[in-house]
Amino acid sequence: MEPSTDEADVIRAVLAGDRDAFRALVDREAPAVIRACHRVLGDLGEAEDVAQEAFVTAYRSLGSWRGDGPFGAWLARIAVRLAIRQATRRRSVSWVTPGSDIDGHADDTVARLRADGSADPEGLALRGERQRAVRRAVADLGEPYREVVALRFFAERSLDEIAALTGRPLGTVKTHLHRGLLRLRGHLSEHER
Amino acid sequence: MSLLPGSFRPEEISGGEPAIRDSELAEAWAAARALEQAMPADPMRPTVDFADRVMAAVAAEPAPHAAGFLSGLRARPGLGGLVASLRAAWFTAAGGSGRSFGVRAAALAYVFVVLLAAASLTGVAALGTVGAFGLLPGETSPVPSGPVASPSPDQTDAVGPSDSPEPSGSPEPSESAEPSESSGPDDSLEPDESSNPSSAVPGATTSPVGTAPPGVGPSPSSSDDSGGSGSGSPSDSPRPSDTPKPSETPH
Repeated sequence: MEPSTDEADVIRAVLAGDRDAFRALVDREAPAVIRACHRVLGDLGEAEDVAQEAFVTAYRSLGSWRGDGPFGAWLARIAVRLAIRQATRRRSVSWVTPGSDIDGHADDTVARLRADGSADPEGLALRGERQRAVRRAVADLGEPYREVVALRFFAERSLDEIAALTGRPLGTVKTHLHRGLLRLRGHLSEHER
Repeated sequence: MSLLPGSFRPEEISGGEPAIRDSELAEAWAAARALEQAMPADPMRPTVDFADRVMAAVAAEPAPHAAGFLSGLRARPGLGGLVASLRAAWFTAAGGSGRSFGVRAAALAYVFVVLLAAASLTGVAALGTVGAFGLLPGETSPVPSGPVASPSPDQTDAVGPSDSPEPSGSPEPSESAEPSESSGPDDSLEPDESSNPSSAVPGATTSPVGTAPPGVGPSPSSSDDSGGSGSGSPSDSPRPSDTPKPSETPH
């Protein structure tokens, strides 16, 4: 769980004023960060925007990185927070445009599955709706359950890393994940009814 | 044990604070499966110019600070590092534009805590120095403690009842000097005794121990030593003439 030596060297170089050294971190962490944001938001373009904001936020507050865990985990926490905030904000003001999904936002999951052509349209629609319901259920979870669930399933972080990131004991993180999943199950059951 | 990410396993959440029932575990597992099935399986690749866009955005940002205001203390543990961290914290709290409120509040709190600790240490050191030279005004306080001999009249009073074997002795001031006698549990048992001034002598009202012969009772010296505080003990200064018989004691 300790940051790698080269990672620490890169961050030290950035803090010393070598701005271009940050590109190495961007190249290495971008796929994971965009994937996590995409899982929260369901749209690649929006996920990239949020991921970019996450990188800039991380760069700005690089001096506050404690170095007690991987840089990627710290960055993932920033990205997931921003993505959830974006998802919440997006739902509070939504425009319904012709051809868009229920949220009024273009969900590229359905579009890409449709382009695949391997599934029937009804199944694709159902799957897209299911994905939206799950994302919405996660976004509707209260803290601290939402953060733990999102970091575990969207950012694919281990519970050890989440415990180190959030400063909570591992047992507490386990309890939060357990309760978060139970609440999520309740939300999904309500949606299915 | 490191819990690696990947597909959710029920073992991940077992071992938390409350024991998890099997039904709850099954529900949690079902929710985890729903989450995993809803996630896109294909790996997300950033667009080609993503890193360039990020670096362009980063170029517009000010260079990140080396670290927080405690970095000086971490780098140089000691007085120099403390002064450096204090200065950095003050600049962060006072003029830290772009810093969040929490960081500025923490920096300000750090400055106050350090200053308070320094003031406290200085005060304690000053007091210690002054005290070492004997200049503290409180050092004259032992002088009034000398005349504690003032209880000596009480001692003589207390000696009075035990010295005089006669019950006709007028009430001694020691009665009022020993109010604990009236609160004794035996007072209520002997109302007649307490109403009689001559019988109000402590030794008479307090105890059936007085039935013991005078020679068995405590010597006057012992009552002298006990003074007012020890007068409540049952064995204090028994008076032969006032001693009630145990059979007369109302119940």
